[in-house]
Amino acid sequence: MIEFWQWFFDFWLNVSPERIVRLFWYFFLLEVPRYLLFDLVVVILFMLKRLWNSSSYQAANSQLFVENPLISIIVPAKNEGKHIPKLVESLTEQTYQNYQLIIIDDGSDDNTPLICRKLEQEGKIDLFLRNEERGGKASAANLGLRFAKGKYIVHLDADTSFDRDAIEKILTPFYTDPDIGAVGGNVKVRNAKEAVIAGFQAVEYLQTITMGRMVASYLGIYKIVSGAFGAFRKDLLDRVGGWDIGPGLDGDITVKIRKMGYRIVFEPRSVSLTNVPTSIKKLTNQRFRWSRSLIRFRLRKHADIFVPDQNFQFSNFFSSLENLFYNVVLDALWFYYVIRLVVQNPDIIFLMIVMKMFLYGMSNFVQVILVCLMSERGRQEIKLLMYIPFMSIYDGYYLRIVRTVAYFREWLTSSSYNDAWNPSKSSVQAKEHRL
Amino acid sequence: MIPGGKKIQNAGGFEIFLIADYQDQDIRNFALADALVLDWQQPDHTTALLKKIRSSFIESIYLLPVFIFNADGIVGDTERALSDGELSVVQEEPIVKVIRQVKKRREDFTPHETNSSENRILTKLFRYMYTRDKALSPEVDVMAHMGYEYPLIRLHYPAGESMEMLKILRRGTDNDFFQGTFVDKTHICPSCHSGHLNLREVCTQCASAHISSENLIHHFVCAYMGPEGDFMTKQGLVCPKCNRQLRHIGVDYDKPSVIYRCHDCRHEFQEPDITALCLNCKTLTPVENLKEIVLDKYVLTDLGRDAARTGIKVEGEEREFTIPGFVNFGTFLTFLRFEIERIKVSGKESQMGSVSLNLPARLRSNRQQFERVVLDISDFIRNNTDSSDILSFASDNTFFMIFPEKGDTAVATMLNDFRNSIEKLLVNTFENEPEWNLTAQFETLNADTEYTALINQVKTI
Ligand SMILES: [Zn+2]
Ligand SMILES: [Zn+2]
Ligand SMILES: [Zn+2]
Repeated sequence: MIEFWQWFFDFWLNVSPERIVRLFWYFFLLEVPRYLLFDLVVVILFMLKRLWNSSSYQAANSQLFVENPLISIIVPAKNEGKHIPKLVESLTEQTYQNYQLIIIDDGSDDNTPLICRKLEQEGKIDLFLRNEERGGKASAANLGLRFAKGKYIVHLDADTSFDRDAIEKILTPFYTDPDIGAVGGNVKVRNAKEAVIAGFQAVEYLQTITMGRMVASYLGIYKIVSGAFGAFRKDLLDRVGGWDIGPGLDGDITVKIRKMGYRIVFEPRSVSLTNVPTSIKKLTNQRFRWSRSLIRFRLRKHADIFVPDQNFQFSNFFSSLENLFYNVVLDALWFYYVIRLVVQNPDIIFLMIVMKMFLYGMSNFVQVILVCLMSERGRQEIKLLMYIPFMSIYDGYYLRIVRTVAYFREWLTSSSYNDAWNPSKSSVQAKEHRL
Repeated sequence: MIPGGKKIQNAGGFEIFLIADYQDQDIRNFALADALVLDWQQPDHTTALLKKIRSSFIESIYLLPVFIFNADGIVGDTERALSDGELSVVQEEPIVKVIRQVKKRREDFTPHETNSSENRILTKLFRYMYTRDKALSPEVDVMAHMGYEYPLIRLHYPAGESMEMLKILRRGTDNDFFQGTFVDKTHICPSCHSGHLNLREVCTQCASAHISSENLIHHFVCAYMGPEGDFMTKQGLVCPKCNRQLRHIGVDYDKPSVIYRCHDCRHEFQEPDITALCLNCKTLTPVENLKEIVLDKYVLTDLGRDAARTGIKVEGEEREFTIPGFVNFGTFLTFLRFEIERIKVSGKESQMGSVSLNLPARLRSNRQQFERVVLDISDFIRNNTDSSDILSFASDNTFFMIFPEKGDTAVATMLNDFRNSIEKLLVNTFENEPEWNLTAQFETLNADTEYTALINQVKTI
């Protein structure tokens, strides 16, 4: 053991900086700039801008309460009855109260209807809509939209719960800029302590959602208002006809709203908590689905974003390009990089892996510290630092492999059309119409 | 000989009469007959006479074999239940068979005397069932208050007293005289017990029945979902989101559920409430609050057949005690009416109190012990009330008291004391039998008190 570390330090202390960069070019050229330096700069700018705008933000917030518009909270749910009472409770605690709660049960085969009908009778749910036969998440959301009477639609997942001011905070941005069409809420992990794999996801959510979306939002390339917690202008949803068949319907509708020329922003201060998968198997399935939809929506359905016609918008183009570049192109590049490395430097491959864990660890460390500094619950989140040393295994290997497999499968076989996530009646149509 | 009756000759020499003339029929004339055949030419008259016969308390009349001679008309369920059969031709054989059986069974009977009207009714019912081996079944009857009737026992209860009627049947089963088997269930208005209900789907918000429903359509290809009306065009069903024509259910669209809309308050919902409008008293009741009645078919048990032979004796016997200082219940009700009239004139307020023992039949079966307890309690109540208060004890169960102008609080305290002391006494008497349920309550009598309403209430205590 000691010998290994001796070797490790001897090697890395004696190697030239140039060689380090050459060995870790992937890290230094692609990941450090994108995920660390860039984030650092943008987050600082973001915070400065927020500070700068704080008085107009306050004005927008007061304007919201002066107007006090009715909003509709719509929650598509399948077999999630057990979460609904908690959700209802978390909503009654909200600082913003002029809402209509619509729950759409998409063909549950458990006691969900019983639970919800009772809550409806007690007046805790304003409208409970149930499809005896499952129609898929998009149709459920659309049904909710059809009966929504609010000026804004807040779309939630049933297993999400909220900070007391989350609804207020997600609505306020609409009053800062009339061009804002949708606002994404922050989604954090509630069950981080339940399993190690959940802890990793908690860190990942902080990096990719809290941090990643803040950066994207600042740059104007924010692209997914998450279905777990997002707010939309109802008139815009009506104009685009609501959601299309999923998976990936969250990203899809955001792109549609962007195409109409509206801004999409992320509001890190509007916080919701969600439970993440606690087993590798469930997590893998979830990620397969997420990744497949990227191919399907960015490359197939919204390919026109890359075509310079009269609807062309640079920010949309850039938004999709960044997404594709960092997920698809870089993943391919990474495999190329790893294989080359193994072939060219087989002797030091183990040293490389350890060094890489160290470098990634440092980078992740800085990033999480940064998030915690800004976070409303930084004191709790700082404890997640204990996962940092191993994040490179979760993030760099596990997720990357899952992602790549999913891309290839989708690319080659359009497997998402066979996903059980949609009822087959919808999948058949989606496939036929190449949606 | 029966006036208006025609004797039917038969080999057995029985007194069998065919009655076609219903003018001035007096049922007392039937006491010496062996059987009657009623001509169904005038159904209303037949029915009326049949009911008269069966509601008599004279054994030789209510147990009389009675047939309906019915050449063409249709005999109702009630008449069928009250008679011994229908004849399309007058034959002696079935009639004589019933006459023989009834006569033979009646030989088992010992004379029975009771002053409890419940026991009289039950004994009579048992004897009728015993002589015929007949079950007591609920019959559908659109004219009946509940929609169902037990014709034989209904004869002793006015239309509005279905609950009392069912109570006596329950007493029959509770005491193992009857064995009940399930026939049906019905729902009745909780305020007037009528079975004539109009069930309707109503708005969950304003309870209006003015609601309509519409199918929801799911267009698969674009995931649009909305009411059918959204899709209606002159060209047929066209999706408002993607403008495609909907052609084939199950292939490009389906109708997974419905939505209701209230035309009064605009509320939208999927599951309407169901409320019942009582066609008798106009009360609206949510279906879950309707009173559910189980309609059993009753047959006599061995114990029931015993009771038929000897009459119901001890169990639940409502003997009028002569308790010093206590008036009987009839007198008490008269006092009560006078008191209400007096109050109306004077504009003052009085109170009527009651303490119910609700002892199970088991604890009343030792008659001596039971009467001693009642007398002890009566002494206690008399010693703690004024001489101007009117006291009574009824139905083996309830002490009634009229307190002229005593004041609500004083009466409440007093009844509470009574309850506590009586409870102690019962605990001492029935040490190992903690199964009673003592209740004490009172009513304020004032200018608004309705005598009949109060009487009905008192009777159900
Ligand atoms: Zn009624
Ligand atoms: Zn209504
Ligand atoms: Zn459509």
